[in-house]
Amino acid sequence: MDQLMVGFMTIMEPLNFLSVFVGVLGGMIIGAMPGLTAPMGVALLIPFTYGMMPVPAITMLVSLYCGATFGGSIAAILVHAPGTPAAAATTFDGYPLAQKGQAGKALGMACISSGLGGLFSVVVLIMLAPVLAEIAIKFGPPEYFALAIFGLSMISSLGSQSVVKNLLGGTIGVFISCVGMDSISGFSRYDFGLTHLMDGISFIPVMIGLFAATEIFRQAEGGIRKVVIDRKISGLLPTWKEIKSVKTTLVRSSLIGTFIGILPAEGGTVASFIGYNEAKRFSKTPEKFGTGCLEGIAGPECANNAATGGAMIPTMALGIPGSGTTAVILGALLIHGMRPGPLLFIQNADVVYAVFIGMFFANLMFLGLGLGGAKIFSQILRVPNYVLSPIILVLCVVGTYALHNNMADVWIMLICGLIGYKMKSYGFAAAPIVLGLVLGGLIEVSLRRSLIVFDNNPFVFFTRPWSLAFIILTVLGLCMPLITSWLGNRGPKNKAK
Amino acid sequence: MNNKDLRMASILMVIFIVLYGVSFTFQSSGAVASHTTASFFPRLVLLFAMLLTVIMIIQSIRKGPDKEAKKMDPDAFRRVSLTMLCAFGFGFGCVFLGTLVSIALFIVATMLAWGVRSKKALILTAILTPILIQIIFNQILLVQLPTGILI
Repeated sequence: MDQLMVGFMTIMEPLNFLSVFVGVLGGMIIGAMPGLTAPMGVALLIPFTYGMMPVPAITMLVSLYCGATFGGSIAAILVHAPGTPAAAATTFDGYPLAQKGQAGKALGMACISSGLGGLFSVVVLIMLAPVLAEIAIKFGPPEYFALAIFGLSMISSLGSQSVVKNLLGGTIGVFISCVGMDSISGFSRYDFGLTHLMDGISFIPVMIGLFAATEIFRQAEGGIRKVVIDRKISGLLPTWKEIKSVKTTLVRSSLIGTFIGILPAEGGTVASFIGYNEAKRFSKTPEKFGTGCLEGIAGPECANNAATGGAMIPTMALGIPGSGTTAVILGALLIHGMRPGPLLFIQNADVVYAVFIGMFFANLMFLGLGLGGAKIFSQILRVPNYVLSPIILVLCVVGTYALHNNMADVWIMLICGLIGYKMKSYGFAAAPIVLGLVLGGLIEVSLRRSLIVFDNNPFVFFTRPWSLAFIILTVLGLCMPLITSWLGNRGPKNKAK
Repeated sequence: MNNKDLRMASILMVIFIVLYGVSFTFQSSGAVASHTTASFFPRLVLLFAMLLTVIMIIQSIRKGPDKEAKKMDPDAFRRVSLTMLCAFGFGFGCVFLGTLVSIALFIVATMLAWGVRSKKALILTAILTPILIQIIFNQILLVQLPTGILI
């Protein structure tokens, strides 16, 4: 409780409070623009935080994450194009309601649901993360290895449709983390005589390249795009009665979103679709879904913002990112000299609780900004992509250079952007590569330490309870897509019979 | 080869084999257990990557050739190639011409490559962007951007 009070007082300092506001505002702007995603926004913002103290820097990044997750619904409702992938399910009922001339009501419901879902998840984050950290503090290298492998196995369901491609992407990410000086033997690996590669490849240039530069190259493929908003934001905000009518959906989606967020590598997109499906399944009027039903907006919007707090739990407590965006936030924590994991709650408790409280305020803030300023944010959609894209590419280059004042990072970023673009055209997603890169170091160090400490005994991972539990979960996680696809294939055949 | 996945998997397999071969060039202190050598983990990762690639190859062969081999629209290909070229040119420009001049040139070149012909949009974006970058990075964040070899 004392820590929370300290966190509250820290956030109340003008600079810290301003960073929450800037983060939310930036997030809503980025989220509102189709094509600009939350991880891209967070990756692009990192260079602006280099010179800041850890509290305002990390708070600004998590606030942007919250704001962008909500901001995606603005484009989803007004132009039928989700601003972020997590808002895709919002288009199903948000756009039809806007077509009926009630865009204000749709945006209001999205905003209220997102805010409540986000606030709920932050409360869970505050309660659960320290408990999880306390358990994890007893973990040794075998547990960390098994946990990181579990986190990596969960990427099988991220981004692209193919499990093999996701796992391959994750493995490529882990391999990239091998470049540079080996921490145990001290010998260099894959530096090809380049001095810059001896220190390894930094997360940030790779993340900016894969998330931001790749996206701009993809936008170039589509050419000039002007968004035409054919719907005026009209119609009143949802009434108290209407909000009360979706309260069960809000509670259900908050729980679903937070739980999905906690699962390593699962993010807002998965949460929003499950939130939508469950809202429809439990609804008294499922036939109204798809025609502009308020439950169809509340379900996914509440779930995707609830996933933000959920995703921060494994990131902060275990050092295992809960989503693509939290993988970038994890990289930012490292840049600011903090190692996410159980020790973070002892060594940097002041920063951790300030960030939690900052995230709580971020959710309150976009609730206010969204309800009051949706009309203004909708205007952002009018900025043409041919102006925005070159500016983003400039920010990619300048921001990457600012990391170490080194052009080598810029080349790495641009090469990653190029590779990311090519790989995306072959069905590979960027998030598994980034997650693999982030977890690679932990996997290698914990595996090799386990083998050193336990006399080269590979069975150590199966004899310790937590480690065994994570390995079982890994096997289940890997088998799940196979089981679901097998069940999916069986269904129609049975029906045909 | 009218099978995208098979093509990609073959390229990746070649890269992984080459990287596996490179791992034999790593220095080693000699009398140490295998897991303490620098090559232990990269080889393990590459073996797993090769296993996944083999699965991808099998899957792509079983799937057969792509039914609808979509070719990229020539205009889209031109835009993407020029944008990439401009981006790498911007990087070199920062080293030789300095950041601010390069930003202006990059903005104009990229917008022209995308087919923008509005002089107002071109001039305003090319002037305002370097000014904003200068204010944010140089004045506020105190980052010394590359000034080029000409200055």
